[in-house]
Amino acid sequence: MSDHARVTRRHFMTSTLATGAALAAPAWAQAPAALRSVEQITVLQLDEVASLDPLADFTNPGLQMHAHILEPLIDFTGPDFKMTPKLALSWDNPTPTRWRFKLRPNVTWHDGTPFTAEDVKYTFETAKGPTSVKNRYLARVQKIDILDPLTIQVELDAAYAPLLGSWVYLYIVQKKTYEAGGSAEFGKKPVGTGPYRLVEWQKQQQLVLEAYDKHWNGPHTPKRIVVRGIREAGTRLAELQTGRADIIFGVPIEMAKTVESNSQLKLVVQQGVRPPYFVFNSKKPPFEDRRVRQAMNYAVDREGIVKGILQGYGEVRVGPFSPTQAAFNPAGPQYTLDVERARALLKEAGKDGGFSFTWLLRKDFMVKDEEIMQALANQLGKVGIKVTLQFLESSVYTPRYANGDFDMAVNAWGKSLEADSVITGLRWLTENSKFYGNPQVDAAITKARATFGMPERTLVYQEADRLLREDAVGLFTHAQSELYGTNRRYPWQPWAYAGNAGLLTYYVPKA
Amino acid sequence: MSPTGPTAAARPSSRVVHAFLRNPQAVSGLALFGCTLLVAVLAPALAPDTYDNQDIMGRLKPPLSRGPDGRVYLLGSDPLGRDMLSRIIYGARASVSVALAGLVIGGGLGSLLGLLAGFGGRGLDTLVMRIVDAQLAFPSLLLAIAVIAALGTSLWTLLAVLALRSWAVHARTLRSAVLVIREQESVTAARALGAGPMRVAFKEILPNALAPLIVVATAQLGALILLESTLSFLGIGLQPPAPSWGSMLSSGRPYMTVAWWVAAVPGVAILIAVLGANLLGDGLRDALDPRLKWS
Amino acid sequence: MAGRAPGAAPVLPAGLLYVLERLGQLVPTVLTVSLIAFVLIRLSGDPASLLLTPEATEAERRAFRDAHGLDRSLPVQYLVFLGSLLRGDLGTSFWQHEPALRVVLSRFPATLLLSATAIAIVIVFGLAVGVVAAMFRGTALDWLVMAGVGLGQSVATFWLGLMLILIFAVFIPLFPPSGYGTPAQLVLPAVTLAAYYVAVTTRLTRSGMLEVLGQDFIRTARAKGLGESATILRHGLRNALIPITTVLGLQIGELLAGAVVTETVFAWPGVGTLVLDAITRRDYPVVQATIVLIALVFALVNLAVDLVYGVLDPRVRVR
Repeated sequence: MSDHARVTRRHFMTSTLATGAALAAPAWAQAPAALRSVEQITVLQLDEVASLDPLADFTNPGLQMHAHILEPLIDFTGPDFKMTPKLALSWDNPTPTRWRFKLRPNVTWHDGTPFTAEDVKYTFETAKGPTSVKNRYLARVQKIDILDPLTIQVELDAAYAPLLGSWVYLYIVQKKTYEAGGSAEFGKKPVGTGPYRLVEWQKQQQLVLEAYDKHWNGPHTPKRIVVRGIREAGTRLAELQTGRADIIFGVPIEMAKTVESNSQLKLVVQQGVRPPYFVFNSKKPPFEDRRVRQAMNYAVDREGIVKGILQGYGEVRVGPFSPTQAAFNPAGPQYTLDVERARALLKEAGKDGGFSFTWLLRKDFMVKDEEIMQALANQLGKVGIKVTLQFLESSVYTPRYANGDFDMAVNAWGKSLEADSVITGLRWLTENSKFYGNPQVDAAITKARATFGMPERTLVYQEADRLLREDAVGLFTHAQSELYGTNRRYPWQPWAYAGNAGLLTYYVPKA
Repeated sequence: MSPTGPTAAARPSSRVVHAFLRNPQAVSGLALFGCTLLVAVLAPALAPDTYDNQDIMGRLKPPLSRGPDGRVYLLGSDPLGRDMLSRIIYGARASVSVALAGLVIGGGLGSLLGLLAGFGGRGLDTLVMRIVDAQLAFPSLLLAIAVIAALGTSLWTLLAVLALRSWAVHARTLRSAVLVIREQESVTAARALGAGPMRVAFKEILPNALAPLIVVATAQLGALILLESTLSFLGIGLQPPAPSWGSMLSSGRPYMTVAWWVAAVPGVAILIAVLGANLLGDGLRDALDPRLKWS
Repeated sequence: MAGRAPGAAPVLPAGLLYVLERLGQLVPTVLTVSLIAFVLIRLSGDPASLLLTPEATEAERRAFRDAHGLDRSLPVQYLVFLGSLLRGDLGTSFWQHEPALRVVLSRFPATLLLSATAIAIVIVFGLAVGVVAAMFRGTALDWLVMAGVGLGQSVATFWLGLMLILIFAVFIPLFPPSGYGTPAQLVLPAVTLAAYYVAVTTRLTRSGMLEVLGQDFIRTARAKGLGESATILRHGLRNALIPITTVLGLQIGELLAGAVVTETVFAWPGVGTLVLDAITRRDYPVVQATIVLIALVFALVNLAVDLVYGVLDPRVRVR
């Protein structure tokens, strides 16, 4: 009991979880004058925003907007995911299952009304509802109590140390508006506390945000952000080249040089931020035998993928975490390409005659997915494993994946902060997985959840990492990089939020 | 009405063949499509390489160049380093066989339904024709996409979709043929003599319906090759690594500025095959029954 | 050809009755089509899985379906759909949270623009080149035209689009490769879309004209004392226009139905890309709305074609 009692904010602040990858140090500080003179920028995202209601839309384009208009209690921002108090100034754990947050005073909504604990309680209760896309984050919550207008207390059903990392997506909505108009109205005219408010939204055309001058951290730059969703890379690039866009997402690898050779433009690269996780159904033969899973890890040419297909815009992965993440265990297996070893392992497992299986995949789940999968299939074929690739639409794929109805499948997870969310989200715990179960890993995670000190927790995660790699829970290949095209007049650098390197804000961050 | 009874059917073949051979378009069609067919059949013998021999470091090499492992890419290499020429050759096999299979299934079913409609009295006739009309009242590509979206991408759905595209015209043609021939003397005579409908169907109707049927079938061939290519291009036809011309084209799309041949060459193959089929179809139609020109 | 008899295409007063009768026939067609669409799109795929995160539990998915009325049996869902349809309500898009009808209609202008331009190209070029080829029958020019026709009917639309982009936007940067907004961006997609139909129209015009050049028409018309070229043009074109109208009539429906492939290649934000999208996302209301509207358009176009028939072919009218 004494280990867990009274963990204070100070304790948290002194032990940030540094996942700080190869993200360049922000250039913001170096060009303040130039930045402040930019009044309006145009950003081209990969797709249209579906809804501005954070409880109805969990896709990336929407999330990007929610992060500008609304705020969570705590966030993890910047290249090293520093813990940043947003709507909660401090918190503590009176008991291991209880979290008490002291909210920030003098915060106003975009319509001028004051922010209080009522809004937080309402948000959490609504988020727990059946139609909310974020209700799993509230699954552990038993009780929500308002202690005073700026203090709120939440009771969980069990100790869960990684809570804050998982609550970064819980953007607080204004009770008044949401209650009155429901998700449909709020999704079109949201009211938030964030640095930007919605000024105008013409669907399929553009969405305009304007800096909220009464924000608790002061007004932000630029004053206006215009956002459009354009699915075709060629069109996005054309807009960038003609100066009609300042930041564009998803520059195709083939176009990287075009952007770099243009003196007015700058290619911004976030290396190795989005890995695919190829999961084995370890409850089905032949993947029940870990030697088969290990063999496959030895049979694939990761370098070829990163250097050849991705032209260097990627990072080799041999486990669930990047070598630059804290949870990565340097002592785990390295799985360098070794066809002979692969064959030996298969023989040990009695599979030297080869076998065949169907690989279930979600369409467009990663950059160059078709090429990479064909390359992998070809390489596995060389050790006698015959692969049939099956690409399915997301809505057809997801239920099958969730039910464990596959031989091998894929999932994706950003380079995010909390190892717990990675492992839980990828369903590597017996409790939520239909295709894997490892009591040692389960024990490690349970222990981590009850470990409130970050350095101690990290050690436990490293142990989990080693276990998962040795057990070859998945086929790890690489992590793709994100390529952004920017106009030099607004020297934007990626500034992550939500502890996720794939999520970035467009404004100049304040200290 | 020109005679289509048994007397005229007695010596049509030589007349047809002569008419066909005198038509330069028809002959070129035969040549082009014939070549495609030959390539499809002889693929393993003709192709310098298999269709899935990857070499990632040899990707996107221009035509007439060498890969890092020493092989020659006569028509260049695709984004995974596979030889384009071999893939085009095997692609002929894939696309043509799928189109033919779809044609046989669709044509067979359609003809059967057309026969039934022609023979079966007003109720059946109206029913079948209404379905035909309803289907033709809808853009074929959208229908194909909707069906594949519902049933998932697989070889069988693809064949089903191709059959769906072609059955209606066959049904209609056979039905018309039946209605015309039904009233002929030879048929009424045969029925009077007690011949059953199936016998009548095979002995009297089919031989006379053969001409329009051939015309319709060959006319559909080009369309089916195009449909398969389009569906593969959209990613819902033949799945990789099956070498469909349509999916080859689609894989080359991101690389058009650096490796235009990946997208250009398969399209030429499609053009040759479809042009050949179309010319052949037109030639057969002109030789068999010029009246059908307007259909 | 569609095999539809032009029907008793009457001159106008009785014509109104005819039009109403035909409009009445629209209803069962549209209903059948909507039923097929309804069934097809629900056969597999689950929008709940798509719109919730992959980590959502089965209970959450059930709740979502419940909230959107997806849990009731299919026949019940269809009846609900029909009911709203009669009220003009085609449902709300799962994706956009807007009325499906509005979503579809918002994409119509782009498709309309593309199709209308393509149709204009088809009519102008198809007719002109067809007439020229007929007049110069047998010459090298005629042969060239027929070769073009053959190619035009055999080329894959998506390949043509990509090649045009390659030649006229990459190698010779004359036009923008994709996008929607400026007239320059309209050229390549319209040409791509029109190509096949230009070929067909040219061929039909040429044959139609040639037929006329050897028929009684000319003799009769000359007897009436008209000048030769005017005669040729009027009667020849009129004769050729009948099959052309039929073919174009069918094809206009296809063109308007959102030239899916052309729109995909050129990133044209029309109905075609919308319906492809919606099918991918299992956005049932939008798919249904699109199909219903397209069927409606088709049927209306067929009706218009029949009426044009009546105008064009006096023989038909007299019957």
